[in-house]
Amino acid sequence: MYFDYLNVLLFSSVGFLFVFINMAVGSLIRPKRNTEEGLETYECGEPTTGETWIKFDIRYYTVALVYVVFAVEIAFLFPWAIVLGDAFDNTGAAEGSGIGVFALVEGVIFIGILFLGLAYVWAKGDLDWVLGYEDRAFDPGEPGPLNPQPRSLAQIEAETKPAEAAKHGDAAQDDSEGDAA
Amino acid sequence: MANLLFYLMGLGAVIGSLLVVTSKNPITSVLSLLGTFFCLATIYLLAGFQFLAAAQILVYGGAIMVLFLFVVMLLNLGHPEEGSGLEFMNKRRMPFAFAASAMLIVLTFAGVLGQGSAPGAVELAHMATIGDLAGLMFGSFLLPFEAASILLMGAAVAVIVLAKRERTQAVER
Amino acid sequence: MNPYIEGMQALAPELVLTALALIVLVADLLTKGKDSRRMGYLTLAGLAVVGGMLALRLGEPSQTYFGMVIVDSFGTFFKLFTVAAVAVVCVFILSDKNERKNGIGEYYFLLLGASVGIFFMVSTNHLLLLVLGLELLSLASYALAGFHKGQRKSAEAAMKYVVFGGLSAGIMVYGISLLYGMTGTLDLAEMATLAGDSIPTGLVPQLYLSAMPVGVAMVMILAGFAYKMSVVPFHFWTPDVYEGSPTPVTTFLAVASKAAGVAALLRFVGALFPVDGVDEIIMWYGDRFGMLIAVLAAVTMTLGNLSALRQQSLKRMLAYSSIAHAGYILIGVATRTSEGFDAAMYYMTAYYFMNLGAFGVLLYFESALGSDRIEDMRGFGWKSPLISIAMVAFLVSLTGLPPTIGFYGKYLLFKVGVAEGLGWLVIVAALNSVVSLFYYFSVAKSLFLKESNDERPALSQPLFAGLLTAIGVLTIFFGLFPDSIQELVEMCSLLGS
Repeated sequence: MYFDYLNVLLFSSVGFLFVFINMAVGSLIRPKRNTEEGLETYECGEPTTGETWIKFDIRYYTVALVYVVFAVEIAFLFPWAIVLGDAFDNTGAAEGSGIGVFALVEGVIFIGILFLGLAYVWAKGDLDWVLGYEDRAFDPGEPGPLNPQPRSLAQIEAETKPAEAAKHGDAAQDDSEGDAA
Repeated sequence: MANLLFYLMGLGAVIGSLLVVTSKNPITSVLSLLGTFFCLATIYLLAGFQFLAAAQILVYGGAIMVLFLFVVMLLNLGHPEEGSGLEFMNKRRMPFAFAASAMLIVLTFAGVLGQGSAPGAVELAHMATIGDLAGLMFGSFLLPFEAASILLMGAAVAVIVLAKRERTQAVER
Repeated sequence: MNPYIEGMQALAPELVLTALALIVLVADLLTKGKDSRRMGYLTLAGLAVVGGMLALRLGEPSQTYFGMVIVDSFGTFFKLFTVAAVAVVCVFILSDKNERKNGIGEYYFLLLGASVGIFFMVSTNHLLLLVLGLELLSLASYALAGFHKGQRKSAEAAMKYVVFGGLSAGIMVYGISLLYGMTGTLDLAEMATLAGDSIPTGLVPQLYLSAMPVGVAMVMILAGFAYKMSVVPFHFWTPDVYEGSPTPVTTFLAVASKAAGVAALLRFVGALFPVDGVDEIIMWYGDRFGMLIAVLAAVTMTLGNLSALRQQSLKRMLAYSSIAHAGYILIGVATRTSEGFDAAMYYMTAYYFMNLGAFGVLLYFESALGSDRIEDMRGFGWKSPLISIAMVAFLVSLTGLPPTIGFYGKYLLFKVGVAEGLGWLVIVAALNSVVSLFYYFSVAKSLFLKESNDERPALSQPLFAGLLTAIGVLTIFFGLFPDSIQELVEMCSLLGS
């Protein structure tokens, strides 16, 4: 009976080997010139700043956890889908169980309860990805050049206006330009 | 052939799980865990449980792995400083961890090797299909099936309650 | 009649409770979390319905449905007390001055979900359903412990609870899988009686063949129960989690969750290792298993009481005291007799009353003083005499002195312990009670015998204060007239009927 899965074994071994053989061949035939510039991380020609380890938004985690819950649900629903036809006819795997229409009802209850879970997550707004600044549920962190703090429109205006005024020397002109922009 | 594959996969699973706990880089740990899961799935297949093997890859290899990766990303492990969650892996407490795992290993070996027989683990006449599993699930194990839906639902709500920050806090800031 | 419909009817309380949980969740979503108090009232009303359904079932003969749910008076007894405890916890949440008024509808959903888990735990002999119920209870409890996640302590409590819970649940499930591999069944009743002809399934042939793996599996399964009951060496989470959780959640964990562990352990031991086992080898190993539980009991009560002596915080002190009480209850389990189990059930009843009361008073103090330090409660007895006198009643009962329900419970446990040859354990327990006198009475002393330097007035929460006083009155009433509870326990006895 194991030979049913021989194709799976072959497929996965070929997939596995494909990667390693290609990498091995590549390392054999590629030129090796390790200059200092060549080893740097490429970031559009700019010198790299910061680290690659960054703290993720917790919302990724929430979505992943919800995904786990529903992946498990799928695993439960496969057997249900398989047995449903047999259950109605009282044949096959469900023969003699007399479960009949209860299999359908039980499955619908199962899905219904989990759908409620999805509705809950949805209604609580954990699936909304784009949030306004006032909704944003993460810590903005320490202010720095790479981490501009959220500012209100009034603040931005207050910061930009004096500079504009100094440049043009005329408050009225400044106002009209601001409107045009 | 099947025996050889079993020992190969068993070895793979043990090495993988050792790498999980010993490797310094958390991403290496997560990927070793993935390897362990694949070895386990193969062992399930060898034992004749095709659906279990598929579910192992689907749920553990897929969903749980993604979760672990996000946890690693969340913990901000590039800076293992105070409060990053890594300080409980310090050297002083290592002996306790070793003692606990040694005890577990001794218990396991005593359980497995203690000249026991395992009549519960009957050899399957044929590969257990989804149909066989479904027959059991809707036969004698109907109630646990429904209880599992409540469990999953509770898990979803518990997740949201724990992982979400209160909006009010964010507004105050 | 169709067995499915019949089974559904028998499981009506569970179904209503589940439906209630879902209704609360949906109602909370529809009202967008505004004014969560209404969810609390809805929960209380639903719990009253479930309680009524359960009360009508008391005394019905034991029956098994779906091959794994046992509907009997023993289960109904614990379910009734769970419903009552959850209702009291709901009142605590509604009266908690430190709790938000909006957006806490999940609080009630999680409590009800945990209760569904308890319902399954206490009414099954099937290890699969037991694990599912345990996990449902644990998952909901993790979220409840971290409900005030803005507070560092609460978040830490949830974290510690998850790590310990995951570890011990893993050990327990591993033990169950070993047991299943050896005996070929997950049903405890079947396991105890089964003796396969050609292949040696069931517990008895396995014990003859290879007792060692069975013993390992048993110890591992015991770890899961020990964790839920916070028995040494699986008690480490208890003080920190109890302290960090919101006080109503602590009450739930200390009372309902622990009782579920006790009930499941009683079923487990009663099914596999009763003192009059089917085979002499069961009795021989049953003696060893009982001795292990007795030793755990002695260590647990001693450690709990000695640690409680040093606590400044009333919440932490009650946490250690709840560890100690788990030790007392184990005396009844260790005897493995019907009388011992009845005594454990009686003590569990006493435990419900006195701990619900004590944690309620703690919540009252926290609301009034903003602190749970015993030091800060100086002279509070003169400001709210009714609550404080009730507190003294709970403390007397926790110590096990007459005329309270705790005294009679402890008396029954000691009596059955001596009768079953566990005299040494009873002596340890008696010495422990003397130790516990010191820390319980330091609270009473602080309440009444010291001058207050706090100017804040007492709270005016007539409903809450009335509930606490009522629990206090019942604590003394059932101490003076223990017969009614005694009859209830005998009616619901696990092994006796």
